[in-house]
Amino acid sequence: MENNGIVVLLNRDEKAEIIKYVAYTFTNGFYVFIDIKNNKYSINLVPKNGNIIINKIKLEKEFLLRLKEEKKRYEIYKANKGLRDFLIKKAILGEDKQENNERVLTPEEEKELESIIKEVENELKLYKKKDFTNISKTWEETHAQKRRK
Amino acid sequence: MLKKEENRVFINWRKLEGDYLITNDFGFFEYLSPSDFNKYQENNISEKLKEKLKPKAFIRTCLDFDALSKRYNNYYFNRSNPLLHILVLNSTCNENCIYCQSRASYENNIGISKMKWETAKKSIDFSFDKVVFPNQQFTIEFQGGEPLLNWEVLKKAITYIRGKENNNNKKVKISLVTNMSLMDNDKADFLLRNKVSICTSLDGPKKLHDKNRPYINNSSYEEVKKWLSFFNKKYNSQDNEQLDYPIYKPSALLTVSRYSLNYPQEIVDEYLEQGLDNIFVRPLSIIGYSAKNWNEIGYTAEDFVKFYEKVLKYILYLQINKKKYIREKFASILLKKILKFESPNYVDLCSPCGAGTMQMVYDIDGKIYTCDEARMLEPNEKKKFQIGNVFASNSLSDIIEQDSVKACAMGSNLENRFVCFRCVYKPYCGICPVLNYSLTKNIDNSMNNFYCEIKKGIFDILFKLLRNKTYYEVFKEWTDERN
Repeated sequence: MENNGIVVLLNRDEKAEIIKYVAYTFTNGFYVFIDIKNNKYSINLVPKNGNIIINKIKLEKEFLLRLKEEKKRYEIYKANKGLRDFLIKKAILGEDKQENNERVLTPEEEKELESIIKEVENELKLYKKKDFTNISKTWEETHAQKRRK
Repeated sequence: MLKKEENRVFINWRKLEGDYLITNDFGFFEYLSPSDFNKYQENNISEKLKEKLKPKAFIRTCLDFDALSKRYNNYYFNRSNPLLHILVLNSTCNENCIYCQSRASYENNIGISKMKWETAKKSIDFSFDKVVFPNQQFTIEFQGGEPLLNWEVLKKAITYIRGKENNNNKKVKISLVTNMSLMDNDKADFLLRNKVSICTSLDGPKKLHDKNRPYINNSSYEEVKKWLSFFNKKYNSQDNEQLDYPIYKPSALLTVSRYSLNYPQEIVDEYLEQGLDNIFVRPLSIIGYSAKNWNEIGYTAEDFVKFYEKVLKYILYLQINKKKYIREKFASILLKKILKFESPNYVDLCSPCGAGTMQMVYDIDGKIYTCDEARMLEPNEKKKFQIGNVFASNSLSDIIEQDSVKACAMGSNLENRFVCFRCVYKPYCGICPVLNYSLTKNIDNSMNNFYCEIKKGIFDILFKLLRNKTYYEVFKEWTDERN
């Protein structure tokens, strides 16, 4: 099989998720087999079209180039993950949603909302009954008990 | 040693004409020379480069969180319930288009072919009462096959919508997609009086149009030409006639078959000749007859992109040098996203797409589908995208919580997608999971396929042209509200 395609060997300190992504980008034209051999990642690219003649040097170069790009992207992504999450969360919870909240509910939606509220209230009652850890009690309730003791 | 201050934000990039195009999550873009790009990547950004990139939110230490989160919110989360409702009035057609996606030729006339009035009424009631909230403006579009083959139901439906609109404090835009072959003065008059917007198909000059769209009786081109002229005249003279209703400008859609590829200029000239100010250059969707006849009428993504470029450059030439104005509609939609970061609610280019959440399609038998593409699939495939039935008592939440709606949303959310997530065009792009499904039998597979290559090709053309000041000005004009 290796004779039909190329095998790229990479050190084990490369990130597996980066290798997997780069390999994935070749799956349109190649079958990709990833393995670990002699403590190295072995990536075998085999053309789906067996008759095609591939330039093995060019293909390996292309693989390594994409790997380099992806490593850089990963580094920038990592450095910005927290910020990105924060900004997207802020966008989702945006304060400009008031207009939508003021929308009048249809009778059906009101009914649905009421039934959900009832359901939650019932669940809470049930939960309170089973609350062995006292987690649902308020701070005052818990501490008043302690003081009485 | 002090840790170097992080100045980079998360970006995607693509090499374009020797430089690098970069984009960020907030839809800003910039072109960088290879040396500046390297500096950016290495977090070794000079003061000069910092100044250039700061206003476009590429410098982490200079971000306006409030403005950016608002920008992101407006673009991605400013969505409503489904506001496009498509009624399929008829599954057959009197034309025999070589690429028909819905297999609606006159030969395909087996079983139920027309929507009954009861189904149409239920569909309209459903959209009014269960889907659209008070004071919301929404669109009901009539499609086929050829909807005029079911004129009695269409007429009743339009009258019913206008009456219901008055009683329910809702505004409805009614749109009719027709090949014009069965249009007559009475029908045209009724449609105009009821403020129906007319959209037809025009594939180019007579020879090309008739080759793509053979008509059972005679030339389909002649009918289109005649009625486009009629509706255009009515549109242009409405101010003099002091009507108490507005008349919409008619529009047309172009579907590009292999036969069209040699005639980019002739097609644009034909559109101008027919008084149209927009041309929507659409590739074939590999679905229905188009898939069946692909060897005869299909082409590669590269062929289509070359054709598209010729059309676009000819349009720009006409506008800049000849003062003749016509816009390419797909470019206008993309440019609105690129230059204004506004989402024009074109459901196929949203992330996630609008299947079942922004549009719903009511088939002739009352079954509700996620989108237009879904109802065009083979019967055993399209049932996977059925999300309700107007005769069942589905609520809006019943529909939106259907697995197929969720699957479409997941499958078209670019944040979720390996390749799309890393694409420089991610902020402006969108994918159709149903078309991907019909192509690969996998809702998740969009990587480098026909549709992806076409979109990437068109983005490349636009971003190359945007570097030219004259073209930039023209494109800016295209993003105004006329679209």
